[in-house]
Amino acid sequence: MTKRKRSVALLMSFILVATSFGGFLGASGAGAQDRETLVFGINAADIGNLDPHYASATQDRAIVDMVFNGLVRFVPGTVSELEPDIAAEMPTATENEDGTQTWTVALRDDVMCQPSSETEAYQLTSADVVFSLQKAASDDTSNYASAYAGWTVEAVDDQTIEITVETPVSDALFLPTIANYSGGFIICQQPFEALGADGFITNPVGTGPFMFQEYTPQNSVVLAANDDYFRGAPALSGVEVRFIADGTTRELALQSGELHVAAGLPEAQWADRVSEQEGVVVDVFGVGEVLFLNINTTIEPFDDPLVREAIMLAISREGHIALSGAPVGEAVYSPVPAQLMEGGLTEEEATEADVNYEQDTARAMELLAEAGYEDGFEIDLVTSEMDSYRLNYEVLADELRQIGVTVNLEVVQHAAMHELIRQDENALTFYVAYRPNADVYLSQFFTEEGGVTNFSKYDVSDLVEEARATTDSAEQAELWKQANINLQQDFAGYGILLVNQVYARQDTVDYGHELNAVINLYPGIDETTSISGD
Amino acid sequence: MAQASIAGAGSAGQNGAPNISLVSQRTRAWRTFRRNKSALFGLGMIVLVIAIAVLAPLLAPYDPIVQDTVNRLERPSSEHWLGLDHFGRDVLSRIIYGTQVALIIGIASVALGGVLGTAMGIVAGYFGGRISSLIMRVVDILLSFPDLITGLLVVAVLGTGMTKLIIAIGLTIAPRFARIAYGPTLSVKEKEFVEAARALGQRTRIILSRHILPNVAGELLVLASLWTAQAIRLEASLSFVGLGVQPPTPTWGQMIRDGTVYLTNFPLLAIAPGVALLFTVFAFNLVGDGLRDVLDPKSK
Amino acid sequence: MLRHIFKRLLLAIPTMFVVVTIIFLLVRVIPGDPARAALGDYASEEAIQSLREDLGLADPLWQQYITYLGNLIQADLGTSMVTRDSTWDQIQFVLPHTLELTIAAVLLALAFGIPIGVIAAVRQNSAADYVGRVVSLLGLSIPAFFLGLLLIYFFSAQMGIFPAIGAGNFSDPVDNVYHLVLPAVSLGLIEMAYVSRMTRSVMINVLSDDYVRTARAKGLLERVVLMKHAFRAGLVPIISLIGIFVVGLIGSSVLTEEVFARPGLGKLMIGAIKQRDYTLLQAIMVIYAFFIVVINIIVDIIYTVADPRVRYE
Repeated sequence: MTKRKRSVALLMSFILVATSFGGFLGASGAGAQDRETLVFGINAADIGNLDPHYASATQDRAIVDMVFNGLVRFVPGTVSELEPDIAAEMPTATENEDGTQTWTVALRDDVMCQPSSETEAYQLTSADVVFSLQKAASDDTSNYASAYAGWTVEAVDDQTIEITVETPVSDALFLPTIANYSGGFIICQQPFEALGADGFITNPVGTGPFMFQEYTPQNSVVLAANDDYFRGAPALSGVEVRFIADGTTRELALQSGELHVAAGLPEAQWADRVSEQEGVVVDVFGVGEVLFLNINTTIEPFDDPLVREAIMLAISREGHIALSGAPVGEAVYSPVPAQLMEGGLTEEEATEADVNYEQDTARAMELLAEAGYEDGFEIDLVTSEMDSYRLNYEVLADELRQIGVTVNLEVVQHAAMHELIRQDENALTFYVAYRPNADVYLSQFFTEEGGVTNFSKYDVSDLVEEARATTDSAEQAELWKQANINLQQDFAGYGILLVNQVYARQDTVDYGHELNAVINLYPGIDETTSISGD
Repeated sequence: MAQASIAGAGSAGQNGAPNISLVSQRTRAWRTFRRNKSALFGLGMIVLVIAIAVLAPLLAPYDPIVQDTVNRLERPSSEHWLGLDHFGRDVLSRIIYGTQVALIIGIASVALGGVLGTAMGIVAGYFGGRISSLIMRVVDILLSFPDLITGLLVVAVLGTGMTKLIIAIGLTIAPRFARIAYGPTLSVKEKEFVEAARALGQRTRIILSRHILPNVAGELLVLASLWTAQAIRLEASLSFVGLGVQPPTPTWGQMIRDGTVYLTNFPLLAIAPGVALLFTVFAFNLVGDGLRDVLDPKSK
Repeated sequence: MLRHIFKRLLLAIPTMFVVVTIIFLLVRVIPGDPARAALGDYASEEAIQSLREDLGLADPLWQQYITYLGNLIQADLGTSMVTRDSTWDQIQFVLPHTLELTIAAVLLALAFGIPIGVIAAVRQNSAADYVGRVVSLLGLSIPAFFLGLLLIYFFSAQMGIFPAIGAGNFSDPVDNVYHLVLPAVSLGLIEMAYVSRMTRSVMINVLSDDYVRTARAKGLLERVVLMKHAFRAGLVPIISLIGIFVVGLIGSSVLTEEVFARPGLGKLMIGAIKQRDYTLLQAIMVIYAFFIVVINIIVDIIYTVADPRVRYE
């Protein structure tokens, strides 16, 4: 017995020594360098795809944003304003005689492609930009090809390209497609060809402030400072993105100082509680991802407008928002969020157009009875295991239970849900998404052009096309609003809420910009981001 | 239910002839079991758990699935002894109703796996031959994999939900029963009374059920009790990794999974269902252990 | 002896073949499309279809099976469907973490489990034995993830002594051990319960054997009897049981890795299931099967060596 006690004591003391020693090592290591590596705990188990033209998961978007640039970029910390990035100045358009439109983009002459395991660093030229945009436009090499349909991209000289589009579009629709987002990220041709498309998935090479150094599956992606970055050498020596899918673990690691920045839980309660910790700051910012409901208007019994109206009346926005709580969760009154972009409905506009449905269980049951379902009915729904879906489906199931509709909810893996809903498995489909403008939201989800993602089988393409052809932005916004009104009036779709981003950081971390909204769903880490010495 | 199965344990007896006085053998086994205080205690715990499951509608203060998201994560109070979860559902009521799910899955999957596996083992043992040894070879391979890994694969194939989970867990544990039933069947079939029965021209089905089954029943019963514990644990583990029963059905594993998110500030959400889970699994293990002592006094 | 080992190795080949076939079939019937999982929510239907063809998912099953077996014979585990990386590279990275965790847990379990079991057997039915039995039964009953959670709550969240996060780097041994303590203790405690129970029941059997009684009757010192005769006799069955523990441990480590967000084979497996990464899942299962077969062979060999009474035809 005493022997056991002794060995336990021995173990404990060893551990104590080990811990203090470890702390000492860590401290001396940090002192030896001027710049620090920022350790960023992100909410994911692993990367999905680091080719920027495929990146769609939050962790992928964050990483590619640090590695790549666009021709133009959203002013850091905002989504409302654009400024030149690789482009020397903001591109301008000229209308051609054949009805097409040409955008001329002059490039900066100091942009360097990062070195990779296969290639040296070299100056980016128009050839790279043309290659990148053509790659983004091809269905075989990009997820975002549809945004570039009808484009012709040509190099005029080493420093200039021309983009010709078949139908003229406004600045508001064109510029975001060449910004630092999705297909707009510019990749370097030589390393892409040297590494191959498959290699690029785990080894991205661009022009940004940080360059890819190492990927360890399910653990981390390490980025090193790109000292040849055209805006100057980064203040950080690098960024280590660690994949920690568990919120509690991230919170504890932030508390112990193992992380500088950690993705939070999308809950106001969490934000309040964690910001009370000493030395920790919590930022709540955009862009919010919108949760909206799609009702399949062709599936029985939802082909009956009375039933669809009953569903709308069963839903309580407050109930869904309470899952996040203000200011993390905010109400939206149409699938297109009015607070983020033109074309969405505000509360007043929705109420005025009679498409702001307040929860009214009694009326909903009357409507069901009128439709011949006085005893309610049963439906099967699938949900992703991801909280942003699962929790809202569970709340929906409870809301529908109250009007006599039984929901059998099956939880499936995220990818499986996406597959099933595209086969019309769900008569009621929640979708959580951010899209850069109303045109993308509406055409992807509420026109025939959207194909399998038109979950409601409802079509507002007339209005969307009319808006697309309009260069007057006020008129354009009115048309989009009308589309939002129509689809809610006919109970095909319904905007419920948007959920903002929640990230916690040590107060020594300075992102280098105000945090209003970031399109790539993380706080935005660039050459200006720094950690002050303590 | 538990009483009945304990009495059943007696009928198993030792590997002796089955047709001597069953009653006295049963009484003797019960007496041995009764002297085993911890097993008796475990039996009491099982009875309590079953009572909670049966009386759940009376015991639970609230409906376990009704939400109140506006008051979510409310801390324990006199109205809600264990507080409200992330949907604003009463945690205590969910734990109480969770007992039903745990028992249904635990017992049903063991029943399924037990019947399937035992039948396989007895048939393979009794008839012998090449096909039988091939079956047992596959059983051995399946057995060499940890249950959780087999369970994960089977659930990944079948999908989630109560019935599918029962089937998955049942299939996972069936080989255990096959293995246990196989050995004794091999040895019992050589015994005189079986050979005598065969010589008298009794039908195979009758020989299997009258003579072979009672002689392996004892071991199987121990296994059943221990595996009910394992099945409940397995269900919780699968729920914990997100491959469990459909929501909003209250299950302890899912409750623990959901509660981990709030571990630092509302640990009760994860720990309370965990304690309920531990209590139930422990009870079945205690009884299984006690039964083993009765059947194999040497290891006592 | 050598012939026996050789025979065991030869027998392992059909076993692996059966396992590989079962895994191949199981993995094919898992619902969900790996091509969609790989391309993400945005992908167009055409892109998914063309990736399916690239990945060979559009081929008939038998053709996929033959390709798979052919590659496997050349020790090619295939490339991941999601990251298009070699699956072996991914496994290679996590494997040391899983091995480290498993070995640490086994050592803990043996170092504490065997003495506890022996003491319990010697002092059968004493208070210490009784407490030990209840505690070990509790150890058998507690799910690995719940124990891990409790440890995180007390030692990380409340006391802040140990990190709750991932695994340490191998290049920094101190940091590595620091990260290993909680997961290894969590897994080790559960295995300790198994080991002490098995040791106890084996030792009780041995202690009641005739020659131990004779030795005692001859007036030999209790300690000598215990160490020289009883324990050595008990060693053989204990060794064979350790094989079973290690296999069980591999199962429990899945949950421990999940709870501690620690890179490892188990966490990789759950990730592969969730991402529908067929090839990765297959590769992991083959590695598991390989380890299980190897462990069984090793146990078998130790068994033969340790106990000359065991003879094989």
